[in-house]
Amino acid sequence: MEKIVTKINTTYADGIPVELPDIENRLRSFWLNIARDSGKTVMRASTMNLIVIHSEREKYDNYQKILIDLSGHHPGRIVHVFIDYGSQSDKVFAAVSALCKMPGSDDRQICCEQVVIKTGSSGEKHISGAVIPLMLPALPVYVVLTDPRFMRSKALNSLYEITDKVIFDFFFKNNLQSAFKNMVKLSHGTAVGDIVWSYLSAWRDAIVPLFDGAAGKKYRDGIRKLKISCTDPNECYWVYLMAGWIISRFGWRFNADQNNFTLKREKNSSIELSVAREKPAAIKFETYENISLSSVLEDDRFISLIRQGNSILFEQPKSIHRPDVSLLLCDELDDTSTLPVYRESLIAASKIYEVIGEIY
Amino acid sequence: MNGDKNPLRELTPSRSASDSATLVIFGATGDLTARKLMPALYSLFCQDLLPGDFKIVGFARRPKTSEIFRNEIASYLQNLNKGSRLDSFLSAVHYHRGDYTLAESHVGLKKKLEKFGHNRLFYLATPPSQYESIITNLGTAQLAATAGGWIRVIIEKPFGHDVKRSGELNRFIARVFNENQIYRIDHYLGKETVQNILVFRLANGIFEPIWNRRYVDHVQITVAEKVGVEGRGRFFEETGILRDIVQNHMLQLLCLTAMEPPSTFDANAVRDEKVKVLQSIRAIEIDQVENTTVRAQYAAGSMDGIMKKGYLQEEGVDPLSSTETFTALQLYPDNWRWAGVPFYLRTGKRLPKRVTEISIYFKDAPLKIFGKRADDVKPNVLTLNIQPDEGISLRFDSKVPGQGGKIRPVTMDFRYGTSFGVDPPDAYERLLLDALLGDSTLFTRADESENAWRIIQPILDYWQNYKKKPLPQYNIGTWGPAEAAKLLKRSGRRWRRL
Ligand SMILES: NC(=O)c1ccc[n+]([C@@H]2O[C@H](COP(=O)([O-])OP(=O)(O)OC[C@H]3O[C@@H](n4cnc5c(N)ncnc54)[C@H](OP(=O)(O)O)[C@@H]3O)[C@@H](O)[C@H]2O)c1
Repeated sequence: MEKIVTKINTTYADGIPVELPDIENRLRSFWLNIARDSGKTVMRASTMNLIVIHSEREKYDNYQKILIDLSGHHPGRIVHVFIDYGSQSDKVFAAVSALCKMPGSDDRQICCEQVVIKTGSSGEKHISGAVIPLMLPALPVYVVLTDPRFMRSKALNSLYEITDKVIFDFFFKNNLQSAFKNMVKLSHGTAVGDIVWSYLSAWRDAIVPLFDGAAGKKYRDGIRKLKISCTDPNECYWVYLMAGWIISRFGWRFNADQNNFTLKREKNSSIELSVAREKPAAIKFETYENISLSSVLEDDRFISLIRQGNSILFEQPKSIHRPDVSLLLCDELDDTSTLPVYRESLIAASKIYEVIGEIY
Repeated sequence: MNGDKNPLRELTPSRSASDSATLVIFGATGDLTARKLMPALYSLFCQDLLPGDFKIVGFARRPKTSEIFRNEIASYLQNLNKGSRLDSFLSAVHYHRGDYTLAESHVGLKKKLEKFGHNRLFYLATPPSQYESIITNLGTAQLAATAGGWIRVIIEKPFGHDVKRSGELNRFIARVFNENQIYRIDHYLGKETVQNILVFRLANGIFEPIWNRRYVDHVQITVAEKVGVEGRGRFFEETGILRDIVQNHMLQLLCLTAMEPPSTFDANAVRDEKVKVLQSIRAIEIDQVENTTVRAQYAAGSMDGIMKKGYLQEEGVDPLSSTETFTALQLYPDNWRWAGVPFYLRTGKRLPKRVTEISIYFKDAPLKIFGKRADDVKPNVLTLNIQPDEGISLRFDSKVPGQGGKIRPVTMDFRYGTSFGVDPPDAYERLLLDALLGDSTLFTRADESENAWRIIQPILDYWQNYKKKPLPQYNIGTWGPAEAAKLLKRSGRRWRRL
């Protein structure tokens, strides 16, 4: 059984305060202390650099727990940044701590180093300069953004330049247009991933087998309409992403006539795409036989597949409504594949948004 | 040969200079003396590695007594925490007030030295513009001639300003001292890991067979500084980073990485091999400079939470300056071992951290047998960390434990501090001791220095003739300009992220 041994090993909520130039030295002595204080072997394993940047206190706090969960699977150096736009300050506060887990029964702790960096709105310009020197050499650098506004920040550009993968973890309420634009732009310079995309893996896993084999091919060619609906306006972003995935994978083209929006497949027959807000959240393929996937209202751990009136229940390890972000983040960190499936889905999603706009 | 060697010294556990000796430091009130030389000497003294009868004579212009000089030294050595032997160390220190340009100052020095032993080591810790007066005056005062003991002179870098002036300087010094008396110091060579490059390569049978073009894809050498010009803007304007770092430190690192095994570990045998590497480096044609080199300056930006000035705003710097604070270059040793293997060098000021390392990138495995996961397989990289944490690390690929066939690169680290339980000695300690012992292996010979100048001269000429204004800029705290990334990208490679 995994158990958390140490959350933060100090009396300070964020760790031990430290001046920026001293962080590296402080971390070095920190390890010696942890080993001595716990009387146990401490393994300082490193497989990655992870930078998480927040603008909301609540998300920052939530992530503390997520990061502890993550540390056992993906040990490395974590830089946890909070830019408080409510404050004008440009002072940079830094602190170091260790996030430790005891994964096995052999008394070994696996620890991640955590550096907390906090500043106000005027301190945004200091973030890249503070974070880049902290990266452990030659290990991948992942950046998690929990606010779309960070993509617009020029001050963070030099950080994105050294990043192997930027992972988005935000739901949109508004400004989808510019967020999509920035996500696509960022995806040209670096690999991108998305926690919402990871939520959708349950749905994707359910959909994929429908189109396997000769029968699947027949379904695909017979699709006349694709309808996707979401329930909560804050979460409707996934609808675009899902549609983007299906459209880009199937190689459907957008019909140029914007007033009458349709999709075209190879042999030029068209498919109607519609998105809506209604219960339950569902993905429906209208073919010569109707197939729809929807979350089960009473218990959203399930997605149901309805085929010609008979429903089959798939039990899903992850639910779209009750996500375990640390697991989803793990998926994103594990997926180092260079196949740009997400990126292509994102580009298609952004196009869909351009033509059909908000979901009301 | 070696007739004056003490046979009992053979296989004694530590080396110590047993003879009596006097070290004369020209520039005794300067920064180098305070920060490096005195702490190194004191440390050697505390380890009983200095000769029993050892004297230090500090030479500078400022009027002061030996007593005052000792007190000044005491003030900066006190914090070193080396125990209570400071008084005993200081009792060997004397001060000689004089002017390099005046012959009589050296005559006075000679008189003072006559009271001490015959073995003398002169350390020129002064700006190079003063070498000629000091050397002339040492010659005139007959201080360069051996009279029953040895006489050696240590010269600090830079050894000249370009090919022409370095040749002139060497010829000038040669009028007074023989080459075997001259110790050109490049403190990089005193670093433990730098010395370890050869040991690592040649004492471990597994590396040498793969240390060549068949297995090595390319080599990257990085010397990154976090500091800017730190008030030395005027000096730096005349120098630039190509002269300051590449001509000496970096080409030395390249030599040690690329050289053939010497027939013996003897000073001249080692240096002969280094010279051969320098001679084999493909000359950069003027029309190739643009394609094979990058130059840039740091622009204002944030470091450690503080906004710092860009190079052009630094004190003593011409606001229209085209002096480079960053450079990257691609060199090819055209020899049997390395034909076609590029060596990429990059160095700069105001980079994210202070780090020096050499990374050997090995070629990919011949066949990609891991299907979909083949892209996860990264080439092996052997990294020799020179500073700040001296050590060696090897990156190799490993399967992630558990289901599935994920492959992740992992690194295996060896650190001096942790493996031997001791910190490696400071470079100046090692080099001062070597000079006292007459071992010049880790010092630069005249032909090494001149050949190194020959490599960078076409770049200097081109840059001088085509003063790009403004130079490409890079933000403080980043790994250099986009042009540096492009230099490697052209051949599908990228700089190691540090
Ligand atoms: N500082 C470093 O860390 C460092 C590192 C590597 C190499 N170097 C090299 O080491 C050399 C010395 O550097 P530094 O930084 O120590 O220089 P520095 O601080 O400017 O010291 C110069 C010294 O020379 C003396 N001096 C100057 N003109 C004199 C004259 N006409 N007669 C007698 N004494 C005179 C000065 O003494 P008074 O002021 O009493 O006249 C002072 O002691 C340079 O070649 C530099 O490139 C330095």
